[in-house]
Amino acid sequence: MLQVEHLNVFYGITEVLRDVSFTVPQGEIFALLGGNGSGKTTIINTLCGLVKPRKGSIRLLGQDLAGRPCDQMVRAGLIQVPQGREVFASMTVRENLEIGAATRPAGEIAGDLQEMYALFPRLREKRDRLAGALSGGEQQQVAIARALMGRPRLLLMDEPSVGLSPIVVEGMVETIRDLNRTRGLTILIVEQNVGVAAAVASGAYVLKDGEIAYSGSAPDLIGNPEVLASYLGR
Amino acid sequence: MLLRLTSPMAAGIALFALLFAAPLLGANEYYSYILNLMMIHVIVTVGLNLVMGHAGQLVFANAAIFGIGAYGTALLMKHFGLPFWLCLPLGAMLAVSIGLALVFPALRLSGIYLALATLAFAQCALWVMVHWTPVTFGAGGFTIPAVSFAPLPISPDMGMYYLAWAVCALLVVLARNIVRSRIGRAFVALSDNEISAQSLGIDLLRYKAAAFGLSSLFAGIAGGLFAGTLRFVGPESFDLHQMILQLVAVVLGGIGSLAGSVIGGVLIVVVLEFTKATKMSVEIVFGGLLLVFVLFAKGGLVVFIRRFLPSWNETLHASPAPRSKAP
Amino acid sequence: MKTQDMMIFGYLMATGLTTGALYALVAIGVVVVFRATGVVNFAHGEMFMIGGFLAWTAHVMFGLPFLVAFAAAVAGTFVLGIITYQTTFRPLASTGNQNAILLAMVGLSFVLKGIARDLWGGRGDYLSFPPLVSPTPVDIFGFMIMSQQLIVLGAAIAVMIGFWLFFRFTRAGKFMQATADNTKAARLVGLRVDRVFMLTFAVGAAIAGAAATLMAPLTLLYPDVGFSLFVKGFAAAALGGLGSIPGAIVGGFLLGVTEQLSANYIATGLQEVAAFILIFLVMIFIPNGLFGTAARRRV
Repeated sequence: MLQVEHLNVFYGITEVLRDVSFTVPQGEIFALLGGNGSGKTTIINTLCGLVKPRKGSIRLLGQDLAGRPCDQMVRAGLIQVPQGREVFASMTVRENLEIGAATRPAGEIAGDLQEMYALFPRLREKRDRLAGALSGGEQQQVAIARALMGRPRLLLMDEPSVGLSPIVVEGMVETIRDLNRTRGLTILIVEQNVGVAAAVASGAYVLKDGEIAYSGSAPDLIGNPEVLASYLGR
Repeated sequence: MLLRLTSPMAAGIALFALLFAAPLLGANEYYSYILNLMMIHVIVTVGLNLVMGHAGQLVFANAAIFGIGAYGTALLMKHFGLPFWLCLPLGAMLAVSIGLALVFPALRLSGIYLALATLAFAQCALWVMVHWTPVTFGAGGFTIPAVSFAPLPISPDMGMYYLAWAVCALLVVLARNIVRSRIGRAFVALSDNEISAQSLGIDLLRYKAAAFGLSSLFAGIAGGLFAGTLRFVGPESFDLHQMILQLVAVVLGGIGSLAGSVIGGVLIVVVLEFTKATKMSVEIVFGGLLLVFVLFAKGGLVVFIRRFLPSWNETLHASPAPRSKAP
Repeated sequence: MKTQDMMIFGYLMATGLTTGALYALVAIGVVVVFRATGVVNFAHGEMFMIGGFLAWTAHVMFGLPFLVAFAAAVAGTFVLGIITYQTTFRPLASTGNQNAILLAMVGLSFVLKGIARDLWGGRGDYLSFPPLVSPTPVDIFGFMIMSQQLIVLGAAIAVMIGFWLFFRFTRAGKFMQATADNTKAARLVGLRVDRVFMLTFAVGAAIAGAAATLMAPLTLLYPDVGFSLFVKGFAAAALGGLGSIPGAIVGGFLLGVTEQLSANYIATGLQEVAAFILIFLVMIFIPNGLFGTAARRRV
């Protein structure tokens, strides 16, 4: 589904991604692991067009999208659930979801909205509340639902568990599995929390200093003490 | 160290030598007057660039401070009959004290907020000039007598010319020393990032006060010389047109460059005279210059000069090149 | 004597509220752009001024109906807002240098003023606009109020409501609001934020054009009117906290009434500087405005 090849990204004169290649197969959940500054977030941001690569290709269903701006990435189906949730705090839950479908015709989104409310009943209850007034877990639901409203082919999740309580994280793990199982959604997830990654991902890549250091099935990688040591930066 | 012929220092010495010699070489009254205006605007621009370029504070009150210097000097002469040599420093002191008062809003505001607050202040000052008729003679302005330089054997016009020359040269040298001193480096730290400047132990109040005080001193002295040269003071000399003139002077020469300030101060007088002579719109010409230079030539003319003259060795303090961070 | 005092007070309040409503419209434009971009459009007053001259050209020169003149002014200033965005904000936004953006806007405002002076008469020339209705006053609760003022006040409020509906119920309005709220998130959902910023400048300018057309029959048009209205709009916006549209509206009405009352009861000349003094005091003592961060729902 997603094939990334020889991706190079620079911030100014600093190379933050060096010749990164990886694939995410259709219908799977893959995890990107790595310590702080290893380049995980940069990969996600490059995939959704916030950052432009210097070299390399990003192929989604065969179409090369490298270097395209954000709106075209979203239209192609690469949509991010950002770290820290980044909801539209001064707008209602319902408005947040509607804006998630900004790239689609206004007439087509009513059904999707109901679907989201079915998926996240809390959001139906709070649909007229301001998103900024919701709890962290509810905001995370808003952020996920908002991304789904854009009908992603590949959902990119950047550290979805950061700042959430363990119980809320558990619910979110369920949601992610559920999205994958019932909707067949392909997901690429960046996580610091090894537990979350182990619970949802089938495959994983470990980044170190802007390069892919290890790749394999998620349980294998996470069970491997050598990988874990590098992942934790020790 | 050898003085390179194309260094800013050599160019400056040559410029001032030329300005000194111009009346002796037969520049007529009109040209002397224009050269005199240039020197006055060089003083204003150098001062404004200290606060705007080096310290990065967008101040829109400088035209009014210039006016306060002019009014202060001329009104003391008019109402109390005091001599010019006494009124000029007193007028400048008035300008400085008002400029220093603006430090207090500047401690809390920056960027657009500071620009608009100082602009509002400038408009209030202008309103006082227009409406406090018993003191300021109102919207029509007032004249003052020619300044006598007796017993020196020199005419009032030439006296003002050489006074402006001496003051201008002195203040440019002063500005050069300030820029190279600890104060100058503190200004640059301020303009980069106030919070990190504070963490480096730079006292915001002290250095903002220094920046505002210095620019007001320059503007105030220039205002006094302006009044003495024109022998007329009126509010319309210090309105929004004067503001954009000064902004153009700074941006045209080069934000954060002393040599640029000298170039800018000289050039705006040329452009202004040319615009008036060709009956073009001053607003369109100066507004257009500001827009074009901000958009397409951010470093001003000094950047071009530096490109063609490698020996032009001035460090530009508002240059976009990233500075190394303190560990 | 008492009744006469009441009459004067009523007249002052009516005038204050009418001009205040127009200040509020100008302030809304300042706030909309500020919320989205973090920049105050220094050329906003020139949008107002040119809007007024466009309305004058359509209505007085070409004899078109007032409503057509209104539409022409709104359309013209909409385009002018796009020009402002393209020549100042867009080329400089990526540098992150707000001072440069502001200086470019100062330059543009002078260019526009110069062009207007060339096109619509030199300094000191004031163009007048015919009254909308006969100048007979109407009696409301014992106050004599000019019917024209009532119409202008009503129309200004209608423009505010129209603007509110646009923001609240149209997709474009919501996109603008979302971009102002969280620019990064707006990018991530696929909004072309550069387009949204452009629209924001255009809509802000168009409101100023509407305000100018409504104000024209009450006052005179001249090239420097823009700066004066910008200052008033900015003062009203600052009073409301710069980021709040309800704040800008309240600020506008407060400024309008304060000007009238201070001019009548303290000193005539105060009307001209009230806004400047207000800006200066608000910026120093209450930089967050009267509402500040308290206004959560910002539209």
